[in-house]
Amino acid sequence: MNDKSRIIIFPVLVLLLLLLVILQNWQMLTNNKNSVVYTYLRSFASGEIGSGYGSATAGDIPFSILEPGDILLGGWPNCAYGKYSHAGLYLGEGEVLEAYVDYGVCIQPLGHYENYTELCFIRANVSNELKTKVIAAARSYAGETFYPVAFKQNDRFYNCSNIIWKAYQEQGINLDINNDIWIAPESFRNSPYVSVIFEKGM
Amino acid sequence: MYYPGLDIVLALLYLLIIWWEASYKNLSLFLQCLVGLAWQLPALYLSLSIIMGLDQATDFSYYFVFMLQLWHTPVMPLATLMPNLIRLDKPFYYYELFVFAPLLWTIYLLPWFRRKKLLQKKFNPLA
Repeated sequence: MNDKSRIIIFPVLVLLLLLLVILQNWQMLTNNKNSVVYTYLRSFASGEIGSGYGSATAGDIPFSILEPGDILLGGWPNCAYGKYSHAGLYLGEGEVLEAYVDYGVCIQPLGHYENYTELCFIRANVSNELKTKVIAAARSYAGETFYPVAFKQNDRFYNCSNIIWKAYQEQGINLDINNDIWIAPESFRNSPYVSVIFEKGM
Repeated sequence: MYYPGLDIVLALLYLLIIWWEASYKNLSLFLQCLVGLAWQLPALYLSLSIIMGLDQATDFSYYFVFMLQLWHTPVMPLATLMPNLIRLDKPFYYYELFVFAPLLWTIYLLPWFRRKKLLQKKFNPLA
């Protein structure tokens, strides 16, 4: 095998797999204007590529209304993948299950949500018994590996949104109305299974 | 990562191709070092910036780790095979991100030493 053919083996394989993924999701990618890919491409065209940035606005945040199983969404202006850039699952007693690139799937204190300019609390309209199971499932993922563009169906890489989606999905609740290949925090806000209990921002 | 399990096979294939590529090149040690360095230079730059805190001088410090992880995407599936240990508040894979660049550089260099050893064997008059 010559130099050139050796070098192209891996890129060709990756491109073939990418093509296969696109073909498998062709309907969703071409018809669903709310998909993460569409949102990202629209943002990219207007010069936005990351999770956005900003500074917190003052105001009382009613953290006391939160119940275990609620979902917190936080966002900055200019976020490329929707209004919200981050999601967390409230575990109770001031703890939130989240995922960060430098901490992996982890449990963090609630307070830092004060820093977001866009903030939303949503509640899944399901029984408390089911939420208890969701929380137990979510806790079992602590320590798992973070990857920013983790596909929904993989079981070794997670980001802040797909860990919550997975915890609910395992209990039979699909919080992604788009049935996308990725899930963004915005998707939870649009799910028919949830109610918004608090929202601040633009 | 879309097809669970296949990513591990591809990660291993990636390493195999790197090894293969490094084995076929008839470069001097210096050149092979240089090629390996050039290949992993972005990751080395990002790693050193994070370790030395140089990223904090920019507005994009948080993105440095993101970029480093994305750079190492081909080998990230192998990181998930390690146990989920947490040390100093950080998961084990976080530390692996800094080790991957020198490790991949070493993998690119090792075939040079192997080639040299094989050549020495070939011309050994006592053989």
